[in-house]
Amino acid sequence: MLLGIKQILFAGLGIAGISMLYFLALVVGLSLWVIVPLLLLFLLLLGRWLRDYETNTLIEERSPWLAILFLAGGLIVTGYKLCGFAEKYGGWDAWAMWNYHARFLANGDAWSLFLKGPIFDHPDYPLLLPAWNALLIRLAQGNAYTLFPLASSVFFTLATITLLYAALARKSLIVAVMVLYLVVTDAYFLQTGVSQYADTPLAFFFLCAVICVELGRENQAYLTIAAACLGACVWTKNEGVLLAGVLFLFNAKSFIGNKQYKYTFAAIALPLLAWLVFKIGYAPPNDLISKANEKTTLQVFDTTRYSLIYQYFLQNLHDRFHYMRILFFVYVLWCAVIRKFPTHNFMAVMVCLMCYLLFYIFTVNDLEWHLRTSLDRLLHQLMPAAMYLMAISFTRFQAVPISSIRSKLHF
Amino acid sequence: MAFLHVIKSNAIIMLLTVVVAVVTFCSHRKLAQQHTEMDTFKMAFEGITTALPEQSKFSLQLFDVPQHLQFYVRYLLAPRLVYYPVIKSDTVILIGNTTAADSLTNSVSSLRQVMWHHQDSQFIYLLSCSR
Repeated sequence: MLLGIKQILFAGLGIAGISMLYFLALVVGLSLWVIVPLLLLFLLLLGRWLRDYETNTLIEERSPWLAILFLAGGLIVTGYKLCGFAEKYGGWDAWAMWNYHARFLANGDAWSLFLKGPIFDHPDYPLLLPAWNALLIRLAQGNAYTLFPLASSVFFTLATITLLYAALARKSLIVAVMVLYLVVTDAYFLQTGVSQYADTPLAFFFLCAVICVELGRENQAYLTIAAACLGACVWTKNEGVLLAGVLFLFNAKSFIGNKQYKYTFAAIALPLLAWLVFKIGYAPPNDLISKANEKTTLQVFDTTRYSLIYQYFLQNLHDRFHYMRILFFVYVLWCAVIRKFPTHNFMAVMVCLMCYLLFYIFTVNDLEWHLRTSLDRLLHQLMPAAMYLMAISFTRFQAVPISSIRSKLHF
Repeated sequence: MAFLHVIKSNAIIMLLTVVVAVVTFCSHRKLAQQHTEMDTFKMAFEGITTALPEQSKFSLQLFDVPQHLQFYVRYLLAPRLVYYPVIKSDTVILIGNTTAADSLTNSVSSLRQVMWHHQDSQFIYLLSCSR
Protein backbone atom coordinates (compact mmCIF):
# COMPACT_ATOMS: atom_id res chain seq x y z
CA MET A 1 0.00 0.00 0.00
CA LEU A 2 2.90 2.33 0.68
CA LEU A 3 3.95 2.13 -2.92
CA GLY A 4 0.53 3.47 -3.78
CA ILE A 5 1.12 6.40 -1.45
CA LYS A 6 4.50 7.15 -2.98
CA GLN A 7 3.15 7.11 -6.50
CA ILE A 8 0.28 9.44 -5.64
CA LEU A 9 2.79 11.75 -3.96
CA PHE A 10 4.87 11.60 -7.12
CA ALA A 11 1.87 12.51 -9.27
CA GLY A 12 0.84 15.39 -6.98
CA LEU A 13 4.32 16.81 -6.54
CA GLY A 14 4.94 16.31 -10.26
CA ILE A 15 1.94 18.51 -11.09
CA ALA A 16 2.99 21.11 -8.50
CA GLY A 17 6.61 21.19 -9.67
CA ILE A 18 5.65 21.38 -13.35
CA SER A 19 3.28 24.23 -12.58
CA MET A 20 6.03 26.18 -10.74
CA LEU A 21 8.64 25.55 -13.43
CA TYR A 22 6.19 26.48 -16.19
CA PHE A 23 5.44 29.77 -14.45
CA LEU A 24 9.17 30.52 -14.00
CA ALA A 25 9.74 29.61 -17.67
CA LEU A 26 7.04 32.12 -18.67
CA VAL A 27 8.75 34.77 -16.56
CA VAL A 28 12.10 34.07 -18.22
CA GLY A 29 10.42 33.84 -21.63
CA LEU A 30 11.45 30.31 -22.62
CA SER A 31 9.81 28.71 -25.63
CA LEU A 32 7.80 25.51 -25.37
CA TRP A 33 10.62 23.56 -27.06
CA VAL A 34 12.90 24.36 -24.13
CA ILE A 35 10.22 24.07 -21.44
CA VAL A 36 9.08 20.52 -22.27
CA PRO A 37 12.53 18.81 -22.01
CA LEU A 38 13.16 20.71 -18.77
CA LEU A 39 9.88 19.49 -17.30
CA LEU A 40 10.59 15.91 -18.37
CA LEU A 41 14.00 16.14 -16.70
CA PHE A 42 12.31 17.44 -13.55
CA LEU A 43 9.88 14.48 -13.54
CA LEU A 44 12.77 12.05 -14.00
CA LEU A 45 14.69 13.55 -11.07
CA LEU A 46 11.58 13.65 -8.88
CA GLY A 47 10.82 10.01 -9.68
CA ARG A 48 14.36 8.94 -8.81
CA TRP A 49 14.31 11.00 -5.61
CA LEU A 50 11.10 9.37 -4.41
CA ARG A 51 12.14 5.87 -5.56
CA ASP A 52 15.43 5.97 -3.69
CA TYR A 53 13.72 6.38 -0.32
CA GLU A 54 14.22 3.52 2.08
CA THR A 55 10.74 2.21 2.72
CA ASN A 56 11.24 -1.33 3.99
CA THR A 57 10.53 -0.33 7.54
CA LEU A 58 7.17 1.07 6.54
CA ILE A 59 5.72 -1.73 4.48
CA GLU A 60 2.95 -3.47 6.34
CA GLU A 61 0.93 -5.25 3.73
CA ARG A 62 -2.06 -7.16 4.97
CA SER A 63 -4.29 -8.68 2.28
CA PRO A 64 -3.30 -6.12 -0.37
CA TRP A 65 -5.61 -7.59 -3.03
CA LEU A 66 -8.63 -7.24 -0.77
CA ALA A 67 -7.65 -3.64 -0.05
CA ILE A 68 -7.26 -2.95 -3.77
CA LEU A 69 -10.64 -4.55 -4.44
CA PHE A 70 -12.39 -2.27 -1.94
CA LEU A 71 -10.61 0.74 -3.41
CA ALA A 72 -11.59 -0.25 -6.95
CA GLY A 73 -15.23 -0.47 -5.86
CA GLY A 74 -15.03 2.90 -4.11
CA LEU A 75 -13.38 4.61 -7.08
CA ILE A 76 -15.88 3.18 -9.57
CA VAL A 77 -18.84 4.40 -7.49
CA THR A 78 -17.15 7.80 -7.03
CA GLY A 79 -16.37 8.03 -10.73
CA TYR A 80 -19.99 7.31 -11.62
CA LYS A 81 -21.17 10.04 -9.24
CA LEU A 82 -18.57 12.53 -10.50
CA CYS A 83 -19.94 12.13 -14.04
CA GLY A 84 -23.27 13.38 -12.74
CA PHE A 85 -21.82 16.32 -10.79
CA ALA A 86 -19.41 17.68 -13.41
CA GLU A 87 -20.26 20.97 -15.12
CA LYS A 88 -19.13 21.88 -18.62
CA TYR A 89 -17.11 24.96 -17.61
CA GLY A 90 -16.88 24.16 -13.88
CA GLY A 91 -18.41 26.26 -11.11
CA TRP A 92 -18.63 30.07 -11.36
CA ASP A 93 -15.27 30.76 -9.69
CA ALA A 94 -13.65 28.06 -11.83
CA TRP A 95 -14.26 29.69 -15.18
CA ALA A 96 -14.37 33.29 -13.89
CA MET A 97 -11.03 32.95 -12.09
CA TRP A 98 -8.98 29.77 -12.22
CA ASN A 99 -9.68 28.74 -15.82
CA TYR A 100 -9.75 32.39 -16.90
CA HIS A 101 -6.19 32.78 -15.60
CA ALA A 102 -5.25 29.52 -17.34
CA ARG A 103 -6.35 30.94 -20.71
CA PHE A 104 -3.81 33.77 -20.30
CA LEU A 105 -1.04 31.54 -19.01
CA ALA A 106 -1.49 29.26 -22.02
CA ASN A 107 -0.26 32.12 -24.17
CA GLY A 108 3.49 32.60 -23.92
CA ASP A 109 3.35 36.28 -24.90
CA ALA A 110 0.16 37.51 -23.25
CA TRP A 111 0.34 35.53 -20.02
CA SER A 112 0.80 38.51 -17.69
CA LEU A 113 -2.12 40.49 -19.14
CA PHE A 114 -4.62 39.11 -16.59
CA LEU A 115 -2.60 40.73 -13.79
CA LYS A 116 -3.78 44.12 -15.06
CA GLY A 117 -7.41 43.06 -14.74
CA PRO A 118 -9.87 44.28 -12.12
CA ILE A 119 -9.58 43.19 -8.50
CA PHE A 120 -12.62 40.91 -8.70
CA ASP A 121 -10.68 38.73 -11.16
CA HIS A 122 -8.40 37.98 -8.18
CA PRO A 123 -5.12 38.23 -10.11
CA ASP A 124 -3.23 37.72 -6.84
CA TYR A 125 -4.31 34.08 -6.49
CA PRO A 126 -1.39 31.60 -6.68
CA LEU A 127 -1.05 29.72 -9.92
CA LEU A 128 -0.67 25.98 -9.29
CA LEU A 129 -3.93 25.00 -10.94
CA PRO A 130 -4.06 27.64 -13.72
CA ALA A 131 -0.41 27.13 -14.72
CA TRP A 132 -0.77 23.33 -14.83
CA ASN A 133 -3.95 23.52 -16.91
CA ALA A 134 -2.39 26.22 -19.10
CA LEU A 135 0.59 24.04 -19.94
CA LEU A 136 -1.68 21.17 -21.00
CA ILE A 137 -3.84 23.54 -23.07
CA ARG A 138 -0.71 24.96 -24.70
CA LEU A 139 0.60 21.48 -25.48
CA ALA A 140 -2.77 20.78 -27.12
CA GLN A 141 -2.14 23.88 -29.25
CA GLY A 142 -4.75 26.06 -27.62
CA ASN A 143 -7.55 23.51 -27.71
CA ALA A 144 -9.33 21.54 -24.99
CA TYR A 145 -10.04 24.52 -22.73
CA THR A 146 -12.71 22.54 -20.93
CA LEU A 147 -11.13 19.07 -21.04
CA PHE A 148 -7.96 19.64 -19.01
CA PRO A 149 -9.47 21.59 -16.10
CA LEU A 150 -12.09 18.84 -15.85
CA ALA A 151 -9.41 16.11 -15.93
CA SER A 152 -7.38 17.93 -13.26
CA SER A 153 -10.39 18.26 -10.96
CA VAL A 154 -11.28 14.58 -11.40
CA PHE A 155 -7.67 13.62 -10.67
CA PHE A 156 -7.38 15.69 -7.48
CA THR A 157 -10.74 14.46 -6.17
CA LEU A 158 -9.97 10.80 -6.77
CA ALA A 159 -6.33 11.13 -5.68
CA THR A 160 -7.44 12.66 -2.35
CA ILE A 161 -9.80 9.74 -1.73
CA THR A 162 -7.19 7.17 -2.80
CA LEU A 163 -4.46 8.70 -0.67
CA LEU A 164 -6.72 8.89 2.38
CA TYR A 165 -7.68 5.24 1.92
CA ALA A 166 -4.16 3.98 1.16
CA ALA A 167 -2.64 5.78 4.15
CA LEU A 168 -5.26 4.32 6.50
CA ALA A 169 -5.23 0.83 4.98
CA ARG A 170 -1.58 0.50 6.03
CA LYS A 171 -2.80 0.41 9.61
CA SER A 172 -6.32 -0.94 9.47
CA LEU A 173 -8.34 -2.08 6.48
CA ILE A 174 -11.62 -1.83 8.42
CA VAL A 175 -11.08 1.82 9.32
CA ALA A 176 -9.92 2.58 5.76
CA VAL A 177 -13.04 1.00 4.25
CA MET A 178 -15.31 2.90 6.67
CA VAL A 179 -13.64 6.20 5.77
CA LEU A 180 -13.86 5.32 2.07
CA TYR A 181 -17.58 4.71 2.48
CA LEU A 182 -18.07 8.08 4.21
CA VAL A 183 -16.21 10.02 1.54
CA VAL A 184 -17.74 8.18 -1.42
CA THR A 185 -21.24 8.89 -0.11
CA ASP A 186 -20.43 12.55 0.59
CA ALA A 187 -22.17 14.39 -2.26
CA TYR A 188 -20.82 17.79 -1.16
CA PHE A 189 -17.19 16.61 -1.21
CA LEU A 190 -17.58 15.13 -4.71
CA GLN A 191 -19.49 18.13 -6.05
CA THR A 192 -16.85 20.55 -4.79
CA GLY A 193 -14.20 18.20 -6.11
CA VAL A 194 -15.31 18.49 -9.73
CA SER A 195 -16.21 22.17 -9.47
CA GLN A 196 -12.67 22.85 -10.84
CA TYR A 197 -11.87 25.17 -7.90
CA ALA A 198 -8.43 25.10 -6.25
CA ASP A 199 -9.87 24.04 -2.87
CA THR A 200 -9.60 20.32 -3.61
CA PRO A 201 -5.95 20.54 -4.79
CA LEU A 202 -5.20 22.45 -1.58
CA ALA A 203 -7.00 19.79 0.48
CA PHE A 204 -4.98 17.16 -1.38
CA PHE A 205 -1.58 18.76 -0.75
CA PHE A 206 -2.42 19.48 2.88
CA LEU A 207 -3.41 15.83 3.32
CA CYS A 208 -0.14 14.77 1.62
CA ALA A 209 1.81 16.97 4.03
CA VAL A 210 0.00 15.63 7.10
CA ILE A 211 0.48 12.00 6.02
CA CYS A 212 4.17 12.58 5.28
CA VAL A 213 4.70 14.26 8.65
CA GLU A 214 3.11 11.20 10.31
CA LEU A 215 5.25 8.84 8.17
CA GLY A 216 8.24 10.99 9.06
CA ARG A 217 8.13 9.54 12.58
CA GLU A 218 9.04 6.16 11.08
CA ASN A 219 11.29 7.42 8.31
CA GLN A 220 12.77 10.91 8.52
CA ALA A 221 13.06 11.14 4.73
CA TYR A 222 9.29 11.67 4.53
CA LEU A 223 9.69 15.02 6.28
CA THR A 224 11.42 16.29 3.15
CA ILE A 225 8.42 15.25 1.04
CA ALA A 226 6.15 16.88 3.66
CA ALA A 227 8.07 20.14 3.23
CA ALA A 228 7.64 19.92 -0.56
CA CYS A 229 3.88 19.35 -0.05
CA LEU A 230 3.69 22.42 2.20
CA GLY A 231 5.37 24.37 -0.59
CA ALA A 232 2.71 23.08 -2.98
CA CYS A 233 0.00 24.31 -0.55
CA VAL A 234 1.50 27.81 -0.68
CA TRP A 235 1.54 27.72 -4.50
CA THR A 236 -2.10 26.54 -4.68
CA LYS A 237 -4.08 29.18 -2.74
CA ASN A 238 -3.48 32.12 -0.43
CA GLU A 239 -4.93 30.08 2.44
CA GLY A 240 -2.15 27.56 1.77
CA VAL A 241 0.31 29.96 3.41
CA LEU A 242 -1.63 29.67 6.66
CA LEU A 243 -1.97 25.87 6.45
CA ALA A 244 1.71 25.44 5.60
CA GLY A 245 2.81 27.89 8.29
CA VAL A 246 0.77 26.30 11.07
CA LEU A 247 1.76 22.71 10.22
CA PHE A 248 5.40 23.77 9.93
CA LEU A 249 5.35 25.53 13.31
CA PHE A 250 3.71 22.54 15.01
CA ASN A 251 6.44 20.28 13.59
CA ALA A 252 9.27 22.81 13.54
CA LYS A 253 11.52 20.57 15.63
CA SER A 254 11.17 17.70 13.15
CA PHE A 255 11.60 19.94 10.11
CA ILE A 256 14.68 21.71 11.46
CA GLY A 257 16.31 19.33 13.95
CA ASN A 258 18.76 16.50 13.20
CA LYS A 259 20.22 18.41 10.25
CA GLN A 260 16.83 18.05 8.55
CA TYR A 261 16.77 21.80 7.90
CA LYS A 262 18.99 21.35 4.81
CA TYR A 263 16.52 18.93 3.21
CA THR A 264 13.54 21.02 4.29
CA PHE A 265 15.02 24.08 2.68
CA ALA A 266 15.88 22.14 -0.49
CA ALA A 267 12.29 20.87 -0.70
CA ILE A 268 10.64 24.27 -0.29
CA ALA A 269 13.19 26.20 -2.39
CA LEU A 270 11.34 25.82 -5.71
CA PRO A 271 7.82 26.59 -4.38
CA LEU A 272 9.18 29.51 -2.40
CA LEU A 273 11.02 30.90 -5.41
CA ALA A 274 7.95 30.64 -7.68
CA TRP A 275 5.70 32.12 -4.99
CA LEU A 276 8.06 35.02 -4.21
CA VAL A 277 8.60 35.85 -7.90
CA PHE A 278 4.84 35.87 -8.42
CA LYS A 279 3.90 37.77 -5.27
CA ILE A 280 6.71 40.33 -5.32
CA GLY A 281 7.18 40.75 -9.04
CA TYR A 282 3.71 40.39 -10.52
CA ALA A 283 0.68 39.93 -8.27
CA PRO A 284 -1.27 42.96 -7.08
CA PRO A 285 -2.02 43.16 -3.34
CA ASN A 286 -4.81 40.95 -2.05
CA ASP A 287 -8.13 42.82 -2.05
CA LEU A 288 -9.00 41.86 1.53
CA ILE A 289 -5.69 43.18 2.82
CA SER A 290 -5.51 46.30 0.68
CA LYS A 291 -9.06 47.35 1.62
CA ALA A 292 -8.45 46.90 5.36
CA ASN A 293 -8.56 50.07 7.48
CA GLU A 294 -9.07 51.21 11.10
CA LYS A 295 -12.72 50.16 10.97
CA THR A 296 -11.62 46.64 10.15
CA THR A 297 -9.57 46.45 13.36
CA LEU A 298 -12.52 47.70 15.41
CA GLN A 299 -14.63 44.80 14.16
CA VAL A 300 -12.90 42.67 16.78
CA PHE A 301 -15.19 44.24 19.40
CA ASP A 302 -18.38 43.49 17.50
CA THR A 303 -19.84 40.46 19.29
CA THR A 304 -22.60 39.94 16.71
CA ARG A 305 -19.90 38.94 14.22
CA TYR A 306 -18.72 36.12 16.48
CA SER A 307 -22.22 34.73 16.89
CA LEU A 308 -22.90 34.97 13.15
CA ILE A 309 -19.66 33.13 12.33
CA TYR A 310 -20.46 30.45 14.91
CA GLN A 311 -23.99 30.12 13.51
CA TYR A 312 -22.71 29.64 9.95
CA PHE A 313 -20.04 27.22 11.16
CA LEU A 314 -22.64 25.03 12.87
CA GLN A 315 -24.95 25.30 9.88
CA ASN A 316 -22.17 24.16 7.56
CA LEU A 317 -21.28 21.24 9.81
CA HIS A 318 -24.92 20.23 9.89
CA ASP A 319 -25.61 20.60 6.17
CA ARG A 320 -22.37 19.54 4.54
CA PHE A 321 -20.08 17.84 7.06
CA HIS A 322 -22.53 16.06 9.35
CA TYR A 323 -20.40 12.92 9.68
CA MET A 324 -17.36 15.00 10.61
CA ARG A 325 -19.31 16.26 13.61
CA ILE A 326 -20.07 12.71 14.72
CA LEU A 327 -16.51 11.62 13.98
CA PHE A 328 -15.18 14.50 16.07
CA PHE A 329 -17.26 13.55 19.12
CA VAL A 330 -16.25 9.88 18.77
CA TYR A 331 -12.62 10.97 18.47
CA VAL A 332 -12.76 13.13 21.60
CA LEU A 333 -14.47 10.29 23.45
CA TRP A 334 -11.85 7.86 22.23
CA CYS A 335 -9.05 10.17 23.38
CA ALA A 336 -10.72 10.33 26.80
CA VAL A 337 -11.01 6.53 26.97
CA ILE A 338 -7.39 5.88 26.08
CA ARG A 339 -6.38 8.90 28.18
CA LYS A 340 -4.39 10.55 25.45
CA PHE A 341 -4.46 14.13 24.35
CA PRO A 342 -5.32 14.63 20.62
CA THR A 343 -2.17 14.50 18.49
CA HIS A 344 -0.38 17.76 17.89
CA ASN A 345 -1.03 17.47 14.14
CA PHE A 346 -4.75 17.30 14.89
CA MET A 347 -4.31 20.36 17.07
CA ALA A 348 -2.54 22.05 14.14
CA VAL A 349 -5.60 21.41 11.94
CA MET A 350 -7.84 22.80 14.69
CA VAL A 351 -5.65 25.92 14.89
CA CYS A 352 -6.03 26.32 11.10
CA LEU A 353 -9.79 26.07 11.56
CA MET A 354 -9.74 28.69 14.33
CA CYS A 355 -7.63 31.01 12.16
CA TYR A 356 -10.12 30.60 9.30
CA LEU A 357 -13.00 31.49 11.61
CA LEU A 358 -11.11 34.43 13.16
CA PHE A 359 -10.27 35.70 9.70
CA TYR A 360 -13.97 36.43 9.13
CA ILE A 361 -13.92 38.86 12.06
CA PHE A 362 -11.67 41.14 10.03
CA THR A 363 -13.16 40.68 6.59
CA VAL A 364 -13.87 43.90 4.70
CA ASN A 365 -16.67 42.24 2.73
CA ASP A 366 -20.23 41.86 3.92
CA LEU A 367 -19.83 39.18 6.59
CA GLU A 368 -22.94 37.20 5.77
CA TRP A 369 -22.15 37.14 2.05
CA HIS A 370 -18.55 36.17 2.75
CA LEU A 371 -19.54 33.34 5.09
CA ARG A 372 -22.20 32.10 2.69
CA THR A 373 -19.85 31.99 -0.28
CA SER A 374 -16.62 30.70 1.24
CA LEU A 375 -16.87 29.01 4.64
CA ASP A 376 -17.93 25.64 3.21
CA ARG A 377 -14.92 25.62 0.90
CA LEU A 378 -12.52 26.47 3.73
CA LEU A 379 -13.89 23.53 5.71
CA HIS A 380 -13.56 21.38 2.58
CA GLN A 381 -9.83 22.20 2.50
CA LEU A 382 -9.32 20.89 6.03
CA MET A 383 -11.72 17.95 5.88
CA PRO A 384 -9.48 15.17 4.41
CA ALA A 385 -6.54 15.95 6.74
CA ALA A 386 -8.80 16.16 9.81
CA MET A 387 -10.51 12.93 8.81
CA TYR A 388 -7.18 11.16 8.36
CA LEU A 389 -5.86 12.29 11.73
CA MET A 390 -9.02 11.20 13.54
CA ALA A 391 -9.29 7.89 11.68
CA ILE A 392 -5.61 7.01 12.19
CA SER A 393 -6.15 7.20 15.94
CA PHE A 394 -8.97 4.64 15.64
CA THR A 395 -6.56 2.24 13.90
CA ARG A 396 -4.65 2.13 17.18
CA PHE A 397 -7.65 0.35 18.66
CA GLN A 398 -6.23 -2.91 17.32
CA ALA A 399 -2.95 -2.22 19.06
CA VAL A 400 -4.57 -1.40 22.41
CA PRO A 401 -5.50 -4.50 24.40
CA ILE A 402 -8.99 -4.38 25.90
CA SER A 403 -7.49 -5.10 29.32
CA SER A 404 -5.51 -1.86 29.19
CA ILE A 405 -8.67 0.09 28.35
CA ARG A 406 -10.46 -1.60 31.25
CA SER A 407 -7.64 -0.76 33.62
CA LYS A 408 -7.74 2.87 32.46
CA LEU A 409 -11.47 2.96 33.05
CA HIS A 410 -10.90 1.32 36.48
CA PHE A 411 -13.18 -1.64 35.73
CA MET B 1 6.00 -13.81 -9.54
CA ALA B 2 8.03 -10.77 -10.50
CA PHE B 3 5.27 -9.71 -12.88
CA LEU B 4 2.68 -10.14 -10.14
CA HIS B 5 4.81 -8.04 -7.80
CA VAL B 6 5.03 -5.24 -10.38
CA ILE B 7 1.25 -5.35 -10.87
CA LYS B 8 0.67 -5.33 -7.11
CA SER B 9 3.11 -2.48 -6.57
CA ASN B 10 1.52 -0.34 -9.24
CA ALA B 11 -2.10 -1.47 -8.85
CA ILE B 12 -3.27 1.63 -6.99
CA ILE B 13 -1.80 4.20 -9.33
CA MET B 14 -2.92 2.20 -12.39
CA LEU B 15 -6.42 1.96 -10.98
CA LEU B 16 -6.47 5.68 -10.26
CA THR B 17 -5.20 6.54 -13.75
CA VAL B 18 -7.79 4.35 -15.46
CA VAL B 19 -10.69 5.74 -13.39
CA VAL B 20 -9.54 9.35 -13.95
CA ALA B 21 -9.27 8.75 -17.70
CA VAL B 22 -12.66 7.02 -17.97
CA VAL B 23 -14.49 9.58 -15.82
CA THR B 24 -12.94 12.50 -17.73
CA PHE B 25 -13.75 10.96 -21.10
CA CYS B 26 -17.36 10.08 -20.20
CA SER B 27 -18.05 13.42 -18.48
CA HIS B 28 -16.52 15.43 -21.27
CA ARG B 29 -18.46 13.58 -23.95
CA LYS B 30 -21.70 14.01 -22.03
CA LEU B 31 -21.05 17.69 -21.28
CA ALA B 32 -20.09 18.46 -24.88
CA GLN B 33 -23.70 17.78 -25.87
CA GLN B 34 -25.06 20.28 -23.34
CA HIS B 35 -25.81 23.81 -24.48
CA THR B 36 -25.31 26.47 -21.83
CA GLU B 37 -25.61 30.26 -21.87
CA MET B 38 -21.83 30.37 -22.21
CA ASP B 39 -22.06 28.31 -25.43
CA THR B 40 -24.37 30.90 -26.97
CA PHE B 41 -21.59 33.46 -26.54
CA LYS B 42 -18.90 31.05 -27.58
CA MET B 43 -20.66 30.47 -30.90
CA ALA B 44 -21.26 34.19 -31.33
CA PHE B 45 -17.59 35.07 -30.84
CA GLU B 46 -16.26 32.47 -33.26
CA GLY B 47 -15.71 35.01 -35.99
CA ILE B 48 -14.22 37.77 -33.86
CA THR B 49 -10.69 36.36 -33.58
CA THR B 50 -9.44 37.84 -36.86
CA ALA B 51 -10.71 41.31 -36.01
CA LEU B 52 -9.56 41.18 -32.40
CA PRO B 53 -6.15 39.50 -32.09
CA GLU B 54 -4.89 37.90 -28.89
CA GLN B 55 -3.27 40.24 -26.35
CA SER B 56 -5.51 43.12 -27.45
CA LYS B 57 -7.41 45.28 -24.98
CA PHE B 58 -10.95 46.43 -25.53
CA SER B 59 -13.87 48.04 -23.73
CA LEU B 60 -17.21 46.39 -23.25
CA GLN B 61 -20.62 48.05 -23.31
CA LEU B 62 -23.77 46.22 -22.38
CA PHE B 63 -27.08 47.59 -23.58
CA ASP B 64 -30.25 46.24 -21.97
CA VAL B 65 -28.66 42.86 -21.16
CA PRO B 66 -27.80 41.27 -17.78
CA GLN B 67 -24.56 42.53 -16.21
CA HIS B 68 -23.21 39.07 -15.48
CA LEU B 69 -22.67 38.52 -19.21
CA GLN B 70 -19.46 40.54 -18.87
CA PHE B 71 -17.88 37.54 -17.12
CA TYR B 72 -18.66 35.29 -20.10
CA VAL B 73 -17.03 37.83 -22.41
CA ARG B 74 -13.96 38.04 -20.18
CA TYR B 75 -13.56 34.28 -20.07
CA LEU B 76 -14.26 33.52 -23.74
CA LEU B 77 -12.13 36.29 -25.19
CA ALA B 78 -9.09 35.71 -22.95
CA PRO B 79 -6.15 36.26 -23.50
CA ARG B 80 -7.60 39.63 -24.38
CA LEU B 81 -8.17 42.19 -21.65
CA VAL B 82 -11.67 43.57 -21.15
CA TYR B 83 -12.33 47.00 -19.65
CA TYR B 84 -15.74 47.21 -18.03
CA PRO B 85 -17.66 49.31 -17.08
CA VAL B 86 -15.07 52.09 -17.59
CA ILE B 87 -14.25 52.67 -21.26
CA LYS B 88 -10.47 52.78 -21.49
CA SER B 89 -9.94 51.53 -25.00
CA ASP B 90 -10.96 52.86 -28.39
CA THR B 91 -11.94 49.36 -29.49
CA VAL B 92 -15.39 48.60 -28.11
CA ILE B 93 -17.61 45.54 -28.10
CA LEU B 94 -21.24 46.42 -27.68
CA ILE B 95 -23.68 43.71 -26.74
CA GLY B 96 -27.34 44.61 -26.87
CA ASN B 97 -30.75 43.07 -26.84
CA THR B 98 -32.06 42.16 -30.30
CA THR B 99 -35.18 44.26 -29.70
CA ALA B 100 -32.96 47.30 -30.14
CA ALA B 101 -30.82 45.81 -32.89
CA ASP B 102 -31.63 48.26 -35.69
CA SER B 103 -31.25 51.41 -33.65
CA LEU B 104 -28.01 50.17 -32.08
CA THR B 105 -26.48 49.21 -35.41
CA ASN B 106 -27.45 52.55 -36.95
CA SER B 107 -26.18 54.65 -34.07
CA VAL B 108 -22.84 52.83 -33.89
CA SER B 109 -22.23 52.61 -37.63
CA SER B 110 -23.04 56.29 -38.15
CA LEU B 111 -20.32 57.39 -35.71
CA ARG B 112 -17.77 54.57 -35.69
CA GLN B 113 -16.25 51.98 -37.96
CA VAL B 114 -17.85 48.56 -37.40
CA MET B 115 -15.12 45.90 -37.59
CA TRP B 116 -17.31 42.86 -36.92
CA HIS B 117 -20.91 42.19 -36.10
CA HIS B 118 -23.06 39.21 -35.27
CA GLN B 119 -26.64 38.59 -34.28
CA ASP B 120 -28.35 35.57 -32.79
CA SER B 121 -31.84 35.03 -31.44
CA GLN B 122 -31.09 36.91 -28.18
CA PHE B 123 -28.29 39.40 -28.69
CA ILE B 124 -26.59 41.67 -31.17
CA TYR B 125 -22.79 42.03 -31.00
CA LEU B 126 -20.88 44.93 -32.53
CA LEU B 127 -17.11 45.41 -32.52
CA SER B 128 -16.18 48.94 -33.49
CA CYS B 129 -13.39 51.51 -33.34
CA SER B 130 -13.23 55.21 -34.14
CA ARG B 131 -12.99 56.19 -37.79
